[in-house]
Amino acid sequence: MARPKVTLVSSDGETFIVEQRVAERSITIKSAIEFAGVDGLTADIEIPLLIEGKVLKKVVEWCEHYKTTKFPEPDENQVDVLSRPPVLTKWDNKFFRLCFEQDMMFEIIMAANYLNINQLLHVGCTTVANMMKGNSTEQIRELFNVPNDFTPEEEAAIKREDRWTK
Amino acid sequence: MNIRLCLGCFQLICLVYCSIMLWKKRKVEHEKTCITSTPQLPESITNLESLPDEILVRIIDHLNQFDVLDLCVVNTKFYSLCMNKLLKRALIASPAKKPIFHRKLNTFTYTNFTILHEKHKCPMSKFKEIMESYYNSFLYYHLSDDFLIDIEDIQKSTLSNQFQRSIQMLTIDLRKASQSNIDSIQESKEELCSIKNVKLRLKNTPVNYLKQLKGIFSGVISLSLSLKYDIVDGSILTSTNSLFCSQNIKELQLEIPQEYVVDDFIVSCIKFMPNIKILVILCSLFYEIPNNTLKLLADYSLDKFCIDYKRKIASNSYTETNIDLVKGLLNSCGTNLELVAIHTDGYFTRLSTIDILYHIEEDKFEEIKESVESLIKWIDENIDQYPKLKFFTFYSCVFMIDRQVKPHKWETLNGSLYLSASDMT
Repeated sequence: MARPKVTLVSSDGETFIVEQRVAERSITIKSAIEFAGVDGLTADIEIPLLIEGKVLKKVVEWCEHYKTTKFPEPDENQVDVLSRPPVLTKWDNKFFRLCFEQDMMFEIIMAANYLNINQLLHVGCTTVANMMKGNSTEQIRELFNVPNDFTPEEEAAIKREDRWTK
Repeated sequence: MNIRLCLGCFQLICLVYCSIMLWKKRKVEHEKTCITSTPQLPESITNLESLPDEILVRIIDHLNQFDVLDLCVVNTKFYSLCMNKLLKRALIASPAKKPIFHRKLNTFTYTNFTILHEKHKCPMSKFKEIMESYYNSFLYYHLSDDFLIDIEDIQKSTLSNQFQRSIQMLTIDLRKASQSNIDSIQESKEELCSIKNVKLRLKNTPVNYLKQLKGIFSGVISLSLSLKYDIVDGSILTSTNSLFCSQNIKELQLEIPQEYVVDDFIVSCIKFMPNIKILVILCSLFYEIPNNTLKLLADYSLDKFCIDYKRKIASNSYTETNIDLVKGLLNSCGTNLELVAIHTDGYFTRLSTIDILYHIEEDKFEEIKESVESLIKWIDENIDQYPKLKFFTFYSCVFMIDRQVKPHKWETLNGSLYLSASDMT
């Protein structure tokens, strides 16, 4: 018998049929599968998800690409995040930089968070951080469309106070 | 029929389970309604700001202190999120010191710290507050006469209370220390004994100061010595020995003056500290560790061995040297070695990787392209012999990719080849 397939259903009804190991990149789905059958998956299974089809498509694409890769376990004791090896492969870079609008990128990060796909979340956060690097405050506001909600007095106070840090 | 029913059951269970999982994550209180009614979609995320705090914190974690400084004034939300990170690590520069906090002068070391500078209106009260209210895991403590007078009150009250529980790494710069500095260090002896990671900068520090500080760092496990002495010899070792208990030391980092050949010194260091597992040497590009020293190092079954070359000493021949050195290290240290790190810039922390960091100026690339290619080729051919090697990072990958210089067999490292993407645009 062929291996059972997992069907992921997006919130808007799109379906994605994937191998079990691809779906189990997500810890949330993995637990759901374990919950459904203690002896492992014996029949095809359908899992509805609270994720839009276009986002789920990209997440599935990522999981497919890395289905055989073993990622290093995150080291809880490591104090310094900057000393971790850089995680973006060339493929990741392309995946995030070239294929998306910004809101899509955030949706994927959110999806990775909900589905508990640690590596994808890590890669997503790194990408956003890389976009911020080297930009001034104004540039960051512009780049990410974040409004400035400081009152002029507050802003002046912060700038005064922060002089010691620069 | 039965199978269909089963399948239906599975689906129902999964639907309920997923809903619960997802709903829990979103911390919505009305769980009951969620399960019985159609679950609502997460709100659309169209803006950086609308990401949950926990994700924003993860993003901020990837930024260095200087980028965070820009980010924190974007708006109130980022301000509160950034402050935690900014105040976690502090570097106190003495007023006498040049403005190292300038973005362009910023070295790899300092990007990890928030620099508090008296001259630039770091109110000491502010510093005190930071020390008291935040977990300050790294503190850079630059000693000079002026500075100590300024922070005297902090020394007595805040610092001593905070030392034991919060400081994980202490850097003491004794280069300009005076007798009064030494006295105040002695006063803090009790607290200092509990610190496990210490960096000592000792250039031109009189030997009698070191003798006075006897036993002061007896709890040190990880020691970093900056030894820009005019003369490096065994006598320095004997004087520094009294500062700590050499049996305890597992990690040693040596900063070696470029003018001198110090093989004997390295050899006596590792003999002197028999339990060293991690050895890091910062040295000039002109310095090559001779083969017999490498062989000796191999006998010590080090877990990690790093050589960090200073970038500032530029030389046309340095890449050749590095390549020979990588070959030499791998050849002489045998297959047990887990890590070799060769940096061309100042600072590194505990890497679990094998790093070769080439910070190459773009216009220099053509000059050294051939030798870099030959290194890659050599690694390709020989990498199988080193099964314990975990990672291999090539930091100048921007140039590598641009110019289609690609490693071929690096996948043999179990898919753990990471290219530094931080500079990519």
